[in-house]
Amino acid sequence: METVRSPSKLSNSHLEAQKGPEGHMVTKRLQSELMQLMMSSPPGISAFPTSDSNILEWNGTITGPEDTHYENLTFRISLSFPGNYPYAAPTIKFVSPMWHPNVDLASGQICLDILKEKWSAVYNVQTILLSLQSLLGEPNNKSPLNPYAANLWDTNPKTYKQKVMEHYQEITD
Amino acid sequence: MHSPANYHDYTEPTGTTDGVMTPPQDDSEDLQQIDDMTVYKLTRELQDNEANKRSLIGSKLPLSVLANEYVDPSFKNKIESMASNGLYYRPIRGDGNCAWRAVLYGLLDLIGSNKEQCQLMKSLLQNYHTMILDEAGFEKIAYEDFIDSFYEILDSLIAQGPQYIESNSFLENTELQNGSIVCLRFITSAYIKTHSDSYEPFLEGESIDSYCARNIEAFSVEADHLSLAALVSALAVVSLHISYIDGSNTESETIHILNPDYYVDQTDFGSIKLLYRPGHYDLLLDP
Repeated sequence: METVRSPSKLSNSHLEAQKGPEGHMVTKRLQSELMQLMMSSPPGISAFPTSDSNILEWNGTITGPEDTHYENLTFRISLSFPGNYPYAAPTIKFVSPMWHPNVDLASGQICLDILKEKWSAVYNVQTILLSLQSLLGEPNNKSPLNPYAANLWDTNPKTYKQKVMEHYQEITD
Repeated sequence: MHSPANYHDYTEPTGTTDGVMTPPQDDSEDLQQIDDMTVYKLTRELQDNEANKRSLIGSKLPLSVLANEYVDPSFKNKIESMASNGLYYRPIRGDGNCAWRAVLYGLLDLIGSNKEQCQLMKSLLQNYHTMILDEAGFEKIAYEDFIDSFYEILDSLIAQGPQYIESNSFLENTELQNGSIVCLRFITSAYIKTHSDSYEPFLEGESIDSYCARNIEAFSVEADHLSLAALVSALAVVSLHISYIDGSNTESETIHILNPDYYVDQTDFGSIKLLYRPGHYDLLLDP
């Protein structure tokens, strides 16, 4: 699905189309965030633009926190930033199959409040990835995208772990 | 003219379907398959498209112009009684940031003709307000670009004088205005977080962090009374004078005055006047 607003979709509003949504802020901001991420390189998370030509599309990885079902497992994610980032949230998906209450297994879509109604420019790639990482160990079972996973989390940890491993694909390259 | 009671819902009759939100190309998609996130994004986009047809900050008009838009006497009479005092107003775009944008313009209007006050505001941002952000744990990477937008406006105001905020290079500058609005939102959130004892009792059990994330830090979410009270205290250089107009039977508007907890370095730039009609804020100005 297209997540970056194309110029044609902005043509409804000539004012916006002329000036661009929020101008050049997005590039400067993402460059700073990339720098921050490279300098601090927090354990268990990484992210980088997919190509030199487009800073709006990133790939990343998240490794499960210790003492959780996801310990030592590493998952690929994709990050797609809208042209008016950080006013609007990036779209983040699991590319690796992820069996988790708040992740849609088929599409990789994630249900996390800070990517929706609680989104604000306070967050950045690093804080989002750290939130996602902790979501792995602390799912929100009240509004699951994967109800079976939510149910097993509460009732049967052993089967839960089996399910996680059944779907897990190790990253090879 | 439009019915101001439906201010937010009103669409300019353009005669074309340009303004109507059309889903992306793959609209064969079954409605059932559209997930929450897509609905949320489409709704947001629709609101943006509607709001974008109005000026961010409209021209300064006598309040009698607004009174003439009303038929309903409960609104009309109150606005007429205010108009008789010679007040003017500037309509502010109804994009969920109206109160913030009105306060931004109101502040710039108060200090615009006095270079020393503009300089003072800039140095307060640099030293005082940034300190609150740091104290509340805001990351520099999150706020620096937005503070820069505010600096840039103040620099232009110092260089060009009050005509700068009358010029299109300011009035139509989405980037600088919105950046400064985020700056105001962050400072307000930071103030609440560093004075949580004063605000927590009003949140009906919601945590400070959650309230600030949903209502203040999130762009395009309308300011409630608590947010404005906190904004005034966070700025610590102005008071806010809000005239409430509604459909009640009273003859005149209800006035709320919000004063800061304290004025930083006894700096009092004066009072910003807002006009509130249900769901929307505009800026009131002296002649």
